[in-house]
Amino acid sequence: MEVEPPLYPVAGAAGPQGDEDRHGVPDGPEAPLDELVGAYPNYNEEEEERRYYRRKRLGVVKNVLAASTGVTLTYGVYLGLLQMQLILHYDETYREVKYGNMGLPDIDSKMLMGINVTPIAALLYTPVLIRFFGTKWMMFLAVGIYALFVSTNYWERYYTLVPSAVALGMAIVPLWASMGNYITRMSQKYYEYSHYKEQDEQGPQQRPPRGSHAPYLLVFQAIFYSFFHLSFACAQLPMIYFLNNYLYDLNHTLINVQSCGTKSQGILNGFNKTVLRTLPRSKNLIVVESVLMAVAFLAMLMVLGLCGAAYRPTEEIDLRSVGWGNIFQLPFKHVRDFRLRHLVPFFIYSGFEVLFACTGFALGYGVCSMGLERLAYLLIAYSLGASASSVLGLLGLWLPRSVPLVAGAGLHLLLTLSLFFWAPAPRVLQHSWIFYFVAALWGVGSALNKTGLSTLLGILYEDKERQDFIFTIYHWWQAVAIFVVYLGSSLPMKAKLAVLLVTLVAAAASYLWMEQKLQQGLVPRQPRIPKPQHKVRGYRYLEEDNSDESDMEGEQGQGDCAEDEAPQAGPLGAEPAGPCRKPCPYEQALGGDGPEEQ
Amino acid sequence: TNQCTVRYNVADCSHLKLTHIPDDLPSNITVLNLTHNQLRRLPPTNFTRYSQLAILDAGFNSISKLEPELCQILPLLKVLNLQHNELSQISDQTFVFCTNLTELDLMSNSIHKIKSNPFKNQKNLIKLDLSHNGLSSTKLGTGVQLENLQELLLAKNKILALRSEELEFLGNSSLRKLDLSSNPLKEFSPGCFQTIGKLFALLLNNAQLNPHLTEKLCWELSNTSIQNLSLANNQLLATSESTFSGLKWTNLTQLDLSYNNLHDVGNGSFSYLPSLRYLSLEYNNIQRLSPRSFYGLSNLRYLSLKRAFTKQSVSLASHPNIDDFSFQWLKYLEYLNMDDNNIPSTKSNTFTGLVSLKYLSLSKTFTSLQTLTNETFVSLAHSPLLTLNLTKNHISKIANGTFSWLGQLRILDLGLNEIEQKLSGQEWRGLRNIFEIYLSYNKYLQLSTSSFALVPSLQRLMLRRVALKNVDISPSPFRPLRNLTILDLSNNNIANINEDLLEGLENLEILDFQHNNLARLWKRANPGGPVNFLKGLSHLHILNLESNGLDEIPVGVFKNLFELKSINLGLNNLNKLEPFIFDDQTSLRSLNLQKNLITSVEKDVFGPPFQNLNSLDMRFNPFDCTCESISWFVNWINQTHTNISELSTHYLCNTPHHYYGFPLKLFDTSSCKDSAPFELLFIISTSMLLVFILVVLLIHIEGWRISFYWNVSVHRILGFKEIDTQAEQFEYTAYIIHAHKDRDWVWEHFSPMEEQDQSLKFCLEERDFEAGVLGLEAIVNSIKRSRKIIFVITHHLLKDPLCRRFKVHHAVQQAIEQNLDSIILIFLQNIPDYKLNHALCLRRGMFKSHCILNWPVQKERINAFHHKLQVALGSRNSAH
Repeated sequence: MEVEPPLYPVAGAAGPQGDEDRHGVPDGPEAPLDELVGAYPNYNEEEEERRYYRRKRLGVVKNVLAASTGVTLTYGVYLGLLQMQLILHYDETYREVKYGNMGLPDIDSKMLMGINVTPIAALLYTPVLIRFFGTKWMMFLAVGIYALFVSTNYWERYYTLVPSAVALGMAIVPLWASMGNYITRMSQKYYEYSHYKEQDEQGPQQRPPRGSHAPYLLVFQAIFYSFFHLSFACAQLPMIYFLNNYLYDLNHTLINVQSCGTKSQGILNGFNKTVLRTLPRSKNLIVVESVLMAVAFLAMLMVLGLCGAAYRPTEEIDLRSVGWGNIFQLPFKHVRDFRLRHLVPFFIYSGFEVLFACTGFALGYGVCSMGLERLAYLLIAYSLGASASSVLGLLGLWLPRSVPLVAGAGLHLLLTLSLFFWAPAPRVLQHSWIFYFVAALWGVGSALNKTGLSTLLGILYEDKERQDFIFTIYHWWQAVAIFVVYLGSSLPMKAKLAVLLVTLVAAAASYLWMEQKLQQGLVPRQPRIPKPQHKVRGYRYLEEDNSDESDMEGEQGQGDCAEDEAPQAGPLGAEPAGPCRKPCPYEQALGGDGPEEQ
Repeated sequence: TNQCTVRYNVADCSHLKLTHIPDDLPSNITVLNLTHNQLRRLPPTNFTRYSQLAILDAGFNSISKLEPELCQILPLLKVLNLQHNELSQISDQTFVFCTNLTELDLMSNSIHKIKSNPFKNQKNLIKLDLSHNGLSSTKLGTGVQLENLQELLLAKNKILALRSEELEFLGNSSLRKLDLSSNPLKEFSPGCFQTIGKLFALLLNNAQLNPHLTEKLCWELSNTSIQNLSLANNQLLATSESTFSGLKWTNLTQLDLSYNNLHDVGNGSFSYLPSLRYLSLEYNNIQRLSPRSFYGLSNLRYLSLKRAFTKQSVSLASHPNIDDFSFQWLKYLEYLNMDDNNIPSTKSNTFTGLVSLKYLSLSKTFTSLQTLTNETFVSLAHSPLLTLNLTKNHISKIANGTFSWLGQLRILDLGLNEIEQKLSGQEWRGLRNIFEIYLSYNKYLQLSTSSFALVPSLQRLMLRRVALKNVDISPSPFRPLRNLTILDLSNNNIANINEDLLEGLENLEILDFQHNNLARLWKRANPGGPVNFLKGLSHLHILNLESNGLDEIPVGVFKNLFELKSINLGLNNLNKLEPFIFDDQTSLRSLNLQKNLITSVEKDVFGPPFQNLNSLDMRFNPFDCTCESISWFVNWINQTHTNISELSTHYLCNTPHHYYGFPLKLFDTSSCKDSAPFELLFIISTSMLLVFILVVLLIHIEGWRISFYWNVSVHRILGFKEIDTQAEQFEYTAYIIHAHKDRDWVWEHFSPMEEQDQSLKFCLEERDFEAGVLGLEAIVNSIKRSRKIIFVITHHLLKDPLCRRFKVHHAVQQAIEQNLDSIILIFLQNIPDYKLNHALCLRRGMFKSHCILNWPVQKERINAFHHKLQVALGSRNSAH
């Protein structure tokens, strides 16, 4: 008896001897239990696991499609309603007969001011809002505010339109920042679900290899922008099915227009003040607005019901525990990163070019030459061109990543130079196909520009804690650019084209300069994301909490090394461990400056 | 093409240039009008279709011959009109079949002589018109015929003499009217009127009769039934006692001697006419009326002397003269008209003897009646005069007591004179029963407080265009007129009145204030505020304020005027009417606002008065054709039955520019906002959106807390434990199965629960196993003695062979054997379903939802987790 080890733990025993005994017990009965219970010979764990992760991946794809469709419907309704109402309110007879002396042009100008001016302050509150509500819920809230704007158009008054326009302006940058963040997070999750074996081997705390999710990001951004650019076509449905029935033809509206295209000044100088042949019936108008309202509500329900969460609850708590002061400051701290500074001209240009397509080209060239009734088809050509060519962003899978962005810039450069020398005559329809062709080409450039920029930001900044700051900066600059275009709407067309051209050249040069710097191995200075500061210790495991903290520190260090690895990967290539060691002393030196930075 | 209009069996084919009878009219017509066409014949064959005709009018054509068969085909014909045609011969056969004719009109044809008996068969004829032909004799046939004839019109022919043998055919007739005017009569043969059966009226106007012929005519009318004799427009220059002596044996009641240039009425001229009631001496040249001129007219009721006297005025001596007592014989005279004469003035006995006179018209009669004194009408002292007309006599002053003799006078007309005085009130002394005083169109009147104090019975007062002064004195000159119903103050340029001008006139129904200058009184900027002079006129029906320059109407000015039926505010400067000013005028029938500056017609202003409106006039206003201004009015126009004249031509839009000159009726209101529920939909959609967003966000952020509080409140009431019949068999509340590495978590979270709730007792291997008992056996025994079994599922549990192979297996087997639902799963980590299935052969679907708990990563939700665990521990074990 004493010679043999005990088969079961003896009650009362304690200390390491007891533990050893407990360890011995599970091994002991295993053999007879197997004989007793029997195994499951037909069960295939790998098959079940593959099926499980395939369902996960399908869920991610559903999220991307739902988000894309929701934004497409929202912007289709928003742009369509805005276009219809601005055309109706432009008509002098419609204003006087229907609204009397209510000051409708003043309300319209204040509404546009609210939409264009308010986003300038978005940098102050967008990161705080996204961290507070979460990415998915921020999208839902913003889409709801867009629907609220649609509902206030039932009753155009100062106290309805202007406040809702201001609220909409506040919601633009949060919507786009959270949308960009959402698409990027979905691509990262898709990678995780595609390479679950590696995740299991490395453990959940391991960071995926650099650039691993880039292919998925390209695909998802292409899908998203293919859907989004269709919103410009959807926006023309109220025009086609409702408003075109009431418009005069071009011989009436363009009777006083003298010059088009590059010779024009302002927005359609001399355009006739009466564009409506008869006033639309209120019942028809209310049907159109009700349909738009229903579509906006449907978009809100899609975002709410079909979009899954972008972060796990633990990740959200970590993001929120960084500290609200830090969250507020971090967008400004990212200015020290030279990559963002070099991309700022491109951010500005992406705001310029889309607004130029909708106002400068569509009105100054298209409507001026072909009449207001063909505005819808012109924008549909732009929309279909942009949507179809968004799939060209997939070329990034095989080509260097700078090719789509530079190709889009080159196409816009050619088009802008052509527009410099093109002055179509008013009320001439012989060569109308040229307008549609130019609109479609501009759409191609827009698509390459948008997908290229979003993909580039997703690739350059892979930290899930940093992406919302990066996208906030991107879309804030775009809003500032839109505001500048709004201010300069009365400039001559040549001045507009000149500004566009200069910005485009500066953007392309700056981007190429950034790529050259990265090729040379210049290391960007990124602000450090503070560790989450949880107030209560041990919210999961008393002992493993400490190990979590130590793991976090180790993860931070490894993360920094991983980020530095990217510029070195090209030339050195073979040795992953080598470059990890070399920058460490430099990083420590930077760490020495940490207190000053803070 | 045929353009005849047929309506109620009446066919109108006049003015169609027809050359033949239409043959497609309905066959049941009874009246056919073919006048003013180009017909030359009336072929009987064309009338076979219209055998039911009763009236055939073919005048103003070119018919020269009439076929006898026409009446044979039209047996029901009663009226045949062939005036203004070219008939020249009438034979015996022309009307032989027209036995039912009652009227035959052959005026203005070319019939010169009737030789045989064309009217022999017309026994039913009542009226025969042969005027304006060329007849030279009154002989229409031989033998007695036309027994029922009542009217025979032979004017404008060439008859020279009336002979008894030529009138024998009327021996059995009772003529009510024989018209021989405009014939050059020169001879009346003896007994020419005796041969006519009965003769009641004889018209001999324009017959160039001189006094001699007249005297002869009267003698021939002796012993006849003559009652009405008209001798107008002849040459009766003078009358004497013998002129009408032949009428001694008649009962003449009407005699017309107008337009005769009569200049001398001899004494006793009418002494043989005691039955005369009506005498007209208009437009003659009478020099003088002597006291015996009207001797014998003891029954006269109506005497017209309009322009009867001579007009020569070269010297005073040649003025016409009415001697005193000239009217003394006319004791029953009621109506006397002496208009348009040149009489100098009245004397003290001019009208003496007119003891039955009721109506006296002296318009434009006198030449020097400038001042009315109390002697002017003394000769009317015994006359029961009701109406006195003194217009156009250049009267400039009325002395006190002028009308004191006319106690029964009711209507006094002094208009169109040159009265220029201050009315002290004594002018109307004695007018106790006066009803109406007409003073319009005089030169200058100044009122005083007592201007109408002596005529309280006055009901109508006309003061139009008299340059009225002192209207603004207080108390008002109209205060004594309690019975006044009509007051006309128009065209006086009145600019200053007091608020109590019309005070006390509760019975006033019609107020005419047009063409004055009352604009200042109703301005907001008037010193003392707007003057509401309409206050208290609760019976006012008609109010006329046209052409007063009004540009503001105070808010309460029409208040309490409930019976107002007509308001005329045309030709003013009204552009903005305050809401609710017409609220009391729901009984309005006529509203006139033409030629103002009204741009918007709003419901607040015009809704109440438009309810019962019959007539609306808002022409020539600059309407603003916008939805806010005009859509309500256009909708009202499209559904109302009110008479709006010239709606499509004079109701035009003035603004906006696109609608200038556009007819108001065609304004399209379907594009206006109030035709669709924009505001309602805005409120509904915005509210739904906001509520939805807030609710969703609330559920997302605080939903767990709401659920937690709900569960706590429910289980506070109902308790945690459900009734379980096997409760006493179990020693432990639950047996906890966990991996070895999870023991710290288990100890940390389950021990405090035991300390808080003494009824909870968990079985922990390290603490509760008995000493000396085999480990596997102890596990089995403890599971049996536990009511619930808790699985703390982590990745470590899935890898623990003892837990995986023995504990979980045994617990599931026991649950299956005993048909119990006693397993609780607590997930500390996110475990995929396939791993759970592979390691433990468990699926989430095997357990009730409240027995599956997830450990929350949020710290504040741990309390909710504990509560859910208690609910799970308290649930019953039975599978049913």
